Amino acid sequence: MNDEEDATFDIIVLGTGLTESIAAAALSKAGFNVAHLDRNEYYGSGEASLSFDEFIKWQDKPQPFIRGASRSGDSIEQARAYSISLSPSLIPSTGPLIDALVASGVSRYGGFRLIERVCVYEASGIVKPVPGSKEDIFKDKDISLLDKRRLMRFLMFTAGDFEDKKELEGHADSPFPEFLKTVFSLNEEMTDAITYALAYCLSPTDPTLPALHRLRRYLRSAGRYGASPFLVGHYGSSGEIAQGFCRTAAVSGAVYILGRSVNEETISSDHQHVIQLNNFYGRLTASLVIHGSSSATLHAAVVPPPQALSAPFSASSPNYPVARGVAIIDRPLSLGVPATQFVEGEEAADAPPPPVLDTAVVVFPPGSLPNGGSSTAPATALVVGEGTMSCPKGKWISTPTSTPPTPRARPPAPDPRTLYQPGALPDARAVLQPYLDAVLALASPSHDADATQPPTPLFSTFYVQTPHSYVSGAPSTDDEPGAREHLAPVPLPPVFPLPDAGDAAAVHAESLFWEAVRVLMSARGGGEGEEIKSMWPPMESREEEEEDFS
Amino acid sequence: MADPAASGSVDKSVQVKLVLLGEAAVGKSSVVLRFVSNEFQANKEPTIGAAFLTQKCRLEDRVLRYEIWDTAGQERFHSLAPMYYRNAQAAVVVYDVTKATSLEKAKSWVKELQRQANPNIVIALAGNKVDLVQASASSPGAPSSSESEDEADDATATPGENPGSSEPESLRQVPREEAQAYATEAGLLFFETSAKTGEGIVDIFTEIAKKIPIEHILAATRGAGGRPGAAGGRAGSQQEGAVNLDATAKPKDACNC
Repeated sequence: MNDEEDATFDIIVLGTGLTESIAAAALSKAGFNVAHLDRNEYYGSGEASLSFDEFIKWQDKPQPFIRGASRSGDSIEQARAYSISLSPSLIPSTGPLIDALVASGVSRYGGFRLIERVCVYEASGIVKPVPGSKEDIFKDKDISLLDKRRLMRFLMFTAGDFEDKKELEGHADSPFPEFLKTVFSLNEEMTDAITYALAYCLSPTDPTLPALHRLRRYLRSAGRYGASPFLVGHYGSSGEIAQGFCRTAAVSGAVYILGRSVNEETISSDHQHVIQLNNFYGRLTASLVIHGSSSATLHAAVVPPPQALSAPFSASSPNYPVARGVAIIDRPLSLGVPATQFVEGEEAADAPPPPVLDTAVVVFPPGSLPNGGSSTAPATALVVGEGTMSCPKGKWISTPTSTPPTPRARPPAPDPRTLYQPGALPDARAVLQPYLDAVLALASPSHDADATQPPTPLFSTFYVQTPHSYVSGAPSTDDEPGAREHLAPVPLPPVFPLPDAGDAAAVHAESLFWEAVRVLMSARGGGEGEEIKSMWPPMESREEEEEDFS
Repeated sequence: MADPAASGSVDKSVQVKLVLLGEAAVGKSSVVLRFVSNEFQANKEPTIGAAFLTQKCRLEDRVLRYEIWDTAGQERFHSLAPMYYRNAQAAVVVYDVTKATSLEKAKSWVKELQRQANPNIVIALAGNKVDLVQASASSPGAPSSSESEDEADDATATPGENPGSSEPESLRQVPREEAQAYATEAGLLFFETSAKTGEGIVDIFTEIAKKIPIEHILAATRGAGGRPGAAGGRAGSQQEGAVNLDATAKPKDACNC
């Protein structure tokens, strides 16, 4: 096709966020004719990885769910060498996203790196590495024998099938820190570390069961690729991964049109969706349209993720705004004693330890900052360096994030479709500056003799991301012809526990995929065509790859 | 160097990511298929829709393993993902000698590469479909030039200047000299090729291989987490921090221990 001709597809996907990109890749691989569109010039929608200049451009343009940005600095050297993530997150080494990456072959496009260190910030102003293994716990001299035993008991409980255990009885919904203290008699310090730096709870009131589910997944992730349970992708992670899925879709024949917005969408007399893009002459027709969560208006049948899986990914994800920050610094963090190296395989056992920390997470439990910071909400700061290909040598990107609870922002029963009421937006800089300062104070001393001061960021910005003000076209449109062939994933909340955003996207993509397959098959009149049995067909080009390898 | 796994250069090929660019229908895929199937004659046809094609290229004592990325059509509406250029050590920009506009397009791709890609990328300009402009009798004469030269410029004097040039030559819209001059000025390798006859195809890849800074790649691979190509890390994946999802995940499935 060219941009002068009309073209017909099975399905049109709007938006190239991770969810839509995974779904598009799977649908294209399954043999459906896919057109994948994005009004932005870049891939990844709200999860994009942007170069420095693109990021500034992004920030200067009004964005649907972004408010109150402030920043210092508009330029930086080697601007192209940065990949700034709009949705910084970690990837657990086992889970739906990793499964999708491997099964689809997209893992071959991208590079990944283990998180080297997770530290928890304690009220005393010191940081402590979070133990990554039983061994770490045994070796830790700061933990009393009794506490070690309690901690081990809790970890054994969590790693096992806790669902029917008596310890959980009556506590599934109680706040997780309370559960840790009352049921496992863990002290304050350990409770904080477990709640925020192992289970990545977003508030002290997070319910116990989802937190346990998460923690179990993370515990089981440790050791797959190294001691750390978490990975981060190269080049800004999620945005690059989205590009990988899009390429996979394209390789299977999907058509990509970026940088054009939808001018008009109509339903033809034969129930086809007809989309007219701006600056694009031809019209696109399809029997099904998927609206990504970043495309604004719609009357779509919202596809919820499968019930069984939903608990781990969304139950504790609040639908209130998140304060985000991005800072570029030129000194690495120095986070105390080296933890045990992440290498378990023999090959790398004798590799020298990394000279400087490339990737780290600093977790701030509520009230851990003596001056400033929230007393009720935790904050995290992900730091990535050159090894993640996200910034040039000698630079690090730190992304502090916090979800300060705002008045009446938390609905009693979280409903992802609730329209967020603006008016109670936190001031991102006020919320995050203390955390950024604390991170900067952890930077290694400069080589300059007189520079004992914490480094000044070369660039910093703060902004607020609000939940999608997403109004679902009342589900009562079921009888309206055509309305059924219009799908949208449940919009993801703006913030997840740090390691969960990608898995949530993968889970949502899978339910979108199956729903789309169902609709498309019935549109074809059933019977015709093969039945689709799995989301990712076995890969064919495999042997060729191996053969060359040996 | 005693440890063969660590030395990289001995029994492991150097992996080079090569990207293809050019206007639609200039023959990008055909150029690659010709290159790849030449050595794999007995094998099955390369899978269309493969993530990328691979082909080894021997060069003295070294083996380069090209990982060749096709645009998969994403260039059509200017929607090529930045990931496409990332870590590419080589690019082949293809135009069609019978279509003047395709050279203009090629020039804009070269600009794009110089803007987006690794600054050390080796770029080759390939004027394809040269079989269409050769009088059929003279076709074997011109090529086979660049076997051992650094540049292939002095080989085919002027296949387009034969005064008696019959109809085929009149199809030519891009004079060889014009493209050659542009390539020299922009620092590109230059070839006229025919995916149909095979002329010039292997030369592109061997000349690129000669120009690629292999030592540099090896050093980067062993060094600080750099991945040579996309799936990269074959040699580099073992080093600290960098993870190859497939490599580690598979043995686990296999032996379950």
